Amino acid sequence: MPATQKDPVLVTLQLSGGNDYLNTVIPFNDPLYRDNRPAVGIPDDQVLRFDKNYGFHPAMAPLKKVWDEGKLAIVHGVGYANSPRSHFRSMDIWHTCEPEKVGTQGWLGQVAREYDPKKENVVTVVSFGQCLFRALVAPGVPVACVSGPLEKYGFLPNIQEREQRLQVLDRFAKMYAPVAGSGVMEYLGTTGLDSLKGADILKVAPQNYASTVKYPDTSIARKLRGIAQVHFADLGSRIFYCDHGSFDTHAGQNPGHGGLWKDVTEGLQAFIADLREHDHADNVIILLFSEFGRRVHDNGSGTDHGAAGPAFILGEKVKGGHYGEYPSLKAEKLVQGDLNPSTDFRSIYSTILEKWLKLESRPITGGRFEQLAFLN
Amino acid sequence: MPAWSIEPPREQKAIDTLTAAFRQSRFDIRSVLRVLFNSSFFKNARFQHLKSPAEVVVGSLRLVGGYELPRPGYGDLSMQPAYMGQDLLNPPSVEGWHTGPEWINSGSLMARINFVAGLVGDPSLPGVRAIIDRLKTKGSLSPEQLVDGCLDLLGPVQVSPETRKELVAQAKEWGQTGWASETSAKTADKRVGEMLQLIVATREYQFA
Repeated sequence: MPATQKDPVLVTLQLSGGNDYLNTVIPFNDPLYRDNRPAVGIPDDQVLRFDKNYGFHPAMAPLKKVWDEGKLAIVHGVGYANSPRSHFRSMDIWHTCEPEKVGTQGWLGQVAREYDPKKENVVTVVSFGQCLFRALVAPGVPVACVSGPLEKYGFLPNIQEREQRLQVLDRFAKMYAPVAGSGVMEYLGTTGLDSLKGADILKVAPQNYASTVKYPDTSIARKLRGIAQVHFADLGSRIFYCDHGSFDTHAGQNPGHGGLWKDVTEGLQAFIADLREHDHADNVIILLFSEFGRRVHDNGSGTDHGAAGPAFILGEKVKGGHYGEYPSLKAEKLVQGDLNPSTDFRSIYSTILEKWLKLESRPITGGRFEQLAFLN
Repeated sequence: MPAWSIEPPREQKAIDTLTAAFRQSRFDIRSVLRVLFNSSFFKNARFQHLKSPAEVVVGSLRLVGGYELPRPGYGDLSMQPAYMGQDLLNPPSVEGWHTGPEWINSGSLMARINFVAGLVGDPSLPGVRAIIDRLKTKGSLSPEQLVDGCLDLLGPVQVSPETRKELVAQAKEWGQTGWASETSAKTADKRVGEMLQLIVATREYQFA
């Protein structure tokens, strides 16, 4: 179905590496926080308190503003049972909704297939980053992956003479014609042709973009700006994806972790301002997640892989507040020394699928999961 | 050839041959390698492996020459594998990278093609100049000769009949390629550059 400008749009920002829950949403009133964080605990006078029990990492001031506006939902204790604490496996689980077996179809790839089963729009899904996130993968679903500046997105830029360029790109398209039953060659062919078509469509986005908002000079801010450019160009894109990292702070967590959150929140601040300036904020929500949290007790310099973590959803139509319960830090409540997940990540997906994207969630999440109330 | 960490080896005969060599040589790795490199299954595994970004970058720089010693601009070169999905010495996790077809997506395919095409389209680079000069020694080239000559000197690169047909069709748009006069030499150099760019943009060129 062709998208309209005000169709709901989802932006997913993946915090790669395993973001530390305890130093992101800080339970400053819990003495167990201090007991367990002798090395990396955030000093009490630096915690950005946002209610009587919790505060943000000091680098997250822009996100606190969104909280104060009532447009930030914090989902607590997110994860799934028997976390393997492996980056690849955990991220695959988040991407495919398959905690028990290795899945190959991404949840957002399936969304794209529902929206555009005939592949009429190769930029329904646009990803900014250097890899193809498995969350976006589904057979027959094109994904426009932009790994550098959007302004330079396109094949063979050195062939500049217009007629020659058209001829060569036409030849490229013919060379990438489908080769049935040939596995990787067929995949290469489809990818090449979709990229060619996508490049043609996406090139108008930076050309038509004008904004007074100044984005920080960071990689995540550049990705978010690219997303804004494509969204404002009204190309029918419904799913945007990007990542930032690495949040894998085994050592030297302070100040590295703070630097990462500074980049993310300042980038988001500019992005939200840009959406509002262009009157394009109402139909966008942003999901932030990480593949797992980190261990309760620090290791003297950082923290190691854990289990439960937080997720954040923000946007004009988001009902801000706490959702789910912050897992207990008491030793007897931990699972192998880690915070015990209390909210299945698929609850977040189910809520977004049904209440925002208006799709049946069960075929995508593989079951019925409790819906959360973070969407108006 | 599947990446071993993703898929187990497919050819039982190959496994058995190498296992036997390992045992018979009293567990000497060199002997196993000798058997492996002389085997038909090894030779048949050519062009089955999707090049990693590091292989694309290093292989291309060695092909075109001129980058043997450090020089300004190396910083940007060192970032190229990252643009293609492989940030060297900085994998997404301690588990390394997803390899094989996972190197390929619309963005990374574009990045690798554009990088290599940018190099082979530059006749000032010694390796590219050498290719052009070798073709020049053959005199005036028909479209088929231009295509086959470029394929040979770039690798040799093996392409499917369908791909070759398209490359020849493109060369036929240009007609005969020759260096008889100053004007035709300039055009010929440009045509060779564009043909090389088209070849490195093919699907087949992504394999090693």
